[in-house]
Amino acid sequence: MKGLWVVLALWVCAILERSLAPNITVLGARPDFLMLVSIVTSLGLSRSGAAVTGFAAGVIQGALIGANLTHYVFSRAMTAFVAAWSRQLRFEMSPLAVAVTAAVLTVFGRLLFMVTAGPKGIAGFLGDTMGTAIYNGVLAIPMYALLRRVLNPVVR
Amino acid sequence: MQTTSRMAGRTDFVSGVVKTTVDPVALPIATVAQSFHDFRLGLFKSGSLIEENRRLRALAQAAELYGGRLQALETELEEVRKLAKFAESVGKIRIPARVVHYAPLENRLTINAGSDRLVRQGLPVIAGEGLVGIVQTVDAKTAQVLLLSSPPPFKIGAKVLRDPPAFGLLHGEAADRLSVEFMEANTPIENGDWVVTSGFSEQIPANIPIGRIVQVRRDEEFGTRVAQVFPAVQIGRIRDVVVLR
Repeated sequence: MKGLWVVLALWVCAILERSLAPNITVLGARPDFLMLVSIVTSLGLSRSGAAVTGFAAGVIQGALIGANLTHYVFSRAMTAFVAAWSRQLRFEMSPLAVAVTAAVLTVFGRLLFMVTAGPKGIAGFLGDTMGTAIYNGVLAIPMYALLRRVLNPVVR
Repeated sequence: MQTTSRMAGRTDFVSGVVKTTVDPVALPIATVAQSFHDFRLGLFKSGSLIEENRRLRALAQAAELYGGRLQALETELEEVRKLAKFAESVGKIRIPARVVHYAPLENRLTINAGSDRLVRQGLPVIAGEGLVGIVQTVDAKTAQVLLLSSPPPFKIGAKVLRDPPAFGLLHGEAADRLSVEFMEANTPIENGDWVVTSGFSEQIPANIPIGRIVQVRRDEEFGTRVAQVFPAVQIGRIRDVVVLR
């Protein structure tokens, strides 16, 4: 059942990424819905489940853009895995903690992407990364509130 | 699998499945979201938009005056081409499309015109200011456009508007920087020169603006000359494009 909710969340976020993300930029920063959903859902999944979720998010994101899937799959799967692993730190899942986790992991995931894909204009990429991290951090709070009931996160 | 499909101008199987699942819902929402976005921008920029609207009306009226003359000249030119047994000129049919997704990191954008509107791989995509990119893969209702800012191996023929013109190969370096390589180290080019398409292609017509040269340097190692070009089209701002077929 949990898997079904994750699939549904990925689908909804793929639609938001495709339709809404380019139109809700704030000071040039735009959210990364697929990375966000893989991080937030991974907070309530096992590490292997999170890696699969991240893998799927990477495939969807790369496919929608028409890009090389490898960089997206690797960076998203690793980010989701680290998100699931971070629960071992046993921090309390307050709204602030979720926001900070999402922002930090967004930076982590995009840096991984940068290392593997090597985009041109690294300064611009890093600027975008900071903006996206803040945006994702803010959006993580309502998304976690929506998803936590269905995902029922467990602390290992 | 992905590279093979891309070379053939098709979307690979996995990407096809994802797009089929997401696009039917996402594209209508994107249109509505864009309208809201435009409305929001309109509220803050109404003054400049009114001024721009006046200017565009004046330009449209001026263009109308020349429309008939242009049509007559095009017909005449086509007849001359037929008489001289030249190949049919390209870029006659214009397919309007809207940008539905822009991925700056991947140097790609998605437009809402696909094989249903006879878009095919390799066709040039232009905006008001000049060349945007080349169609890379085509689906039924959408197409992926590879932007001019794409790094090699993507290259297109370019021409510097001088007398005589200088020809070179253009590729992307960054979103706001393109590069043209000239085989001769002494090619006479200068900052501020306009770069346009060379026309040495079956699908890309000549003289579509690309950008202006902002820097010229000599590559001593290879004995070539390289020009940095600032693109005419600011990709992040465009919403409407035209595919030339």
